[in-house]
Amino acid sequence: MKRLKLMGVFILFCLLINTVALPQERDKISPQLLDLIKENSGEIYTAWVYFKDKGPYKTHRLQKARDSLSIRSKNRRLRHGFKVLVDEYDLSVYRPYLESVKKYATKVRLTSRWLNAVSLEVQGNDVQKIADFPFVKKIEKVKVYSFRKPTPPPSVEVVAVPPEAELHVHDYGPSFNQVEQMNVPVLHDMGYNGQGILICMLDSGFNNLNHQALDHLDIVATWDFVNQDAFVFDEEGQMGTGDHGTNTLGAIGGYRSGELIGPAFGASFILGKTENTEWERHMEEDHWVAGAEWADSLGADIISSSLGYRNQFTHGESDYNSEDMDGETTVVAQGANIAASRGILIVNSAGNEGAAQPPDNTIISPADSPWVLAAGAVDPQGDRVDFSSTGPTADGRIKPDVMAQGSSVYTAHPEESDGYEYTSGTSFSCPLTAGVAALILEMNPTWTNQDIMDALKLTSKKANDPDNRYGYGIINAFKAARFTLKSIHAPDSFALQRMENNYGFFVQYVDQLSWESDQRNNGRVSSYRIYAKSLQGLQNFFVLIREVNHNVFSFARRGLLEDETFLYKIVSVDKSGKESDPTYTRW
Amino acid sequence: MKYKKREFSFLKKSKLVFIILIIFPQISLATDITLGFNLGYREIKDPDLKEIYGDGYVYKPNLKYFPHEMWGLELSYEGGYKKEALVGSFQEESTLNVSGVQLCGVFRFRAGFLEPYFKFGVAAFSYKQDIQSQYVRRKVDHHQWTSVIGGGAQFKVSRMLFFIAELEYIPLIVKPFEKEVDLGRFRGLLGIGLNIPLKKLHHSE
Repeated sequence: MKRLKLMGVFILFCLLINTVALPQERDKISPQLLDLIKENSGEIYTAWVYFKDKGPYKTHRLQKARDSLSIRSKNRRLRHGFKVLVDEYDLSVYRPYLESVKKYATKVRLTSRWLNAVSLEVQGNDVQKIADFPFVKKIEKVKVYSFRKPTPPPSVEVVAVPPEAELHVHDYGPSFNQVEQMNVPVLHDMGYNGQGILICMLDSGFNNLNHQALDHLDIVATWDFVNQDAFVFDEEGQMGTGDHGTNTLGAIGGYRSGELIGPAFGASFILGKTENTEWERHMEEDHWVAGAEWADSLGADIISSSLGYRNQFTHGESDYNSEDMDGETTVVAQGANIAASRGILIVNSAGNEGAAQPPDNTIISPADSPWVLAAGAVDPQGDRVDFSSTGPTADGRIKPDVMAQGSSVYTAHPEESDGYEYTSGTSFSCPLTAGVAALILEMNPTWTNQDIMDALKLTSKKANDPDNRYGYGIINAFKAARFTLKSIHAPDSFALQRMENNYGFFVQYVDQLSWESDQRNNGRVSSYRIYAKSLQGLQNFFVLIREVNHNVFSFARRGLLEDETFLYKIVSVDKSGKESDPTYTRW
Repeated sequence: MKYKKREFSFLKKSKLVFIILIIFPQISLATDITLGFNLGYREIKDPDLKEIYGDGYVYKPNLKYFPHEMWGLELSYEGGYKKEALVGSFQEESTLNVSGVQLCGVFRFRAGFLEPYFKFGVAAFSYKQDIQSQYVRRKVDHHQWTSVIGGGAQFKVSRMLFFIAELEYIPLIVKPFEKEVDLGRFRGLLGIGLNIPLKKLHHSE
């Protein structure tokens, strides 16, 4: 009898634990989506289905993910100190999970390996069935955002080209002011133009790419995330127009002597159409995240996103409020944070909400993220424009971060192949800032995304007195590019030559490493440290292989396997033992 | 219970051959034994090793045992090829040492004071490369079986004493690691020998 009692108590206890510990399947569905389903369960909804994990066989799949990573992407991650090149974020969504969920979807829109989620269209009745899967973590409605166009600026006079413009190598024409304000021409004179830097433009589409100021551009890839094809220009019967993207692309990379010269006219570009302008500049958040993932896989160094989303929804859509602008809540901010963790520098428009009444005049997402450089707008004279969104973020951080011209910006016309126009908005402060970031990275190829953000902010006009209207102020390209992040600079021109060393019975390889001193160190280097990391296998790490005196500029390393691949890094070491940023080279 | 596989080493093989040759005369119709000592020059075929170490002198003591008037067995040792050279891009000091033992069947023709012969058989060579560098992790210390073919002539100067001239071809293709190299080729040898008759086959002599 006593035993039976004990057993009864135990069973009751188990039931209680089950009830408390295991969430009800209904808890997986967001209240907002539940309310909509209650109202009309026959309606089709777009929803994010998040999964609990990425499934089994991770080691094998990580190896596959690593193999498929582009060289550019690998290099960027190595520059950002990735000990292991890939992690769970690089694993695609586990296919069996997808297949199970797909049975109930009317359409699968996009999958996100970063969010470990799929965005799909599903009938209200079927949402519960999806929630019943044990591997489903939560289901949320895909949010739709709007982007407010700034109030049209007063009629624009052509900005006169000052006499100093003639002292520069390039003839900037009417675009001189917008680049001179950021001190860009002096870097152009030195030969920097963004060459070798891959910039991803996420925008509403790109018409008129054969414009005379754009046809020199190295466009590496294009993708229309709205209509799911490779054409980013307007197509009949498809959604979205491409005027905005043409304007922003012209501002960053245009080149037509005497007319338009953007800061990064020598860079390479990938163009992603992620915004649907069908409903007064609306987009869905999944497109932006998919675009960022795409940029990562192609190895983009910088994302320039002249898009920002918060409120002003049409079609009865719900929105985020100013309290959600904390850099973590919105899905685009979450996506941007993951992109930044992969080493991509994200520059985003601060927003054109500045003229609204508080709290609606604040920053938009993903510019609210601490890892995103938010660019506000100034006029050609350097004064803040009313529409430029102000800070702080919901968690009290200073925003915007920096300012660039966002009023009367001269750029390529989206319809005429030899036409130009003045346009306004933080949409144009963003590509101008991103173009400067490209120049800085070109000049300092070892810098991380955070280094570039720091250099830009700490050399901007209001670096000593930042506020929530101007942030750190108007950027200065030359100062930022020469900014000393650390007390000591990495060696220059770190090069590797592999030779054979024949002993008759066997052959060694000899990796002949050579480098040059960075003249800016002015005798502060006490030694150089050379590290090597094998690129065979996943578990690899840098090992110190030699420290040599400050007057030694070469080192030979010998090994036995000819096909062994190494990544080498070298750092300068000052007298206190502090290391510089590394410079990399690989065989 | 597991039995460890016994290694039939190179040294053990050599000892076995030697013992057989010592015992064999006691039970056979031996005619004569010759003891010889040859000096000569050997080639290295591999161009890399030839360039580093070059061809070199060898010495070759040998014992021939003839159970029959026309044919016999020869056991010999080849040594003396030990060369020093600077090797590799960093010109490190190194030595190459190649030596070996041979067991051959010998066929001879008696024509007065001249005894031409030819031979073929097997040889076991050891080859060793020492490199005096802390950076080289691979040391070469291996051995290799190969075949021998050769011929020559003995010139009798007295009943027991003779001179010898011999030419041998011994390929020695080895692949200690990834790279295959040929350490062998021709040897030209001159020597002196002693003939010890063991049994007279023809009483009329």
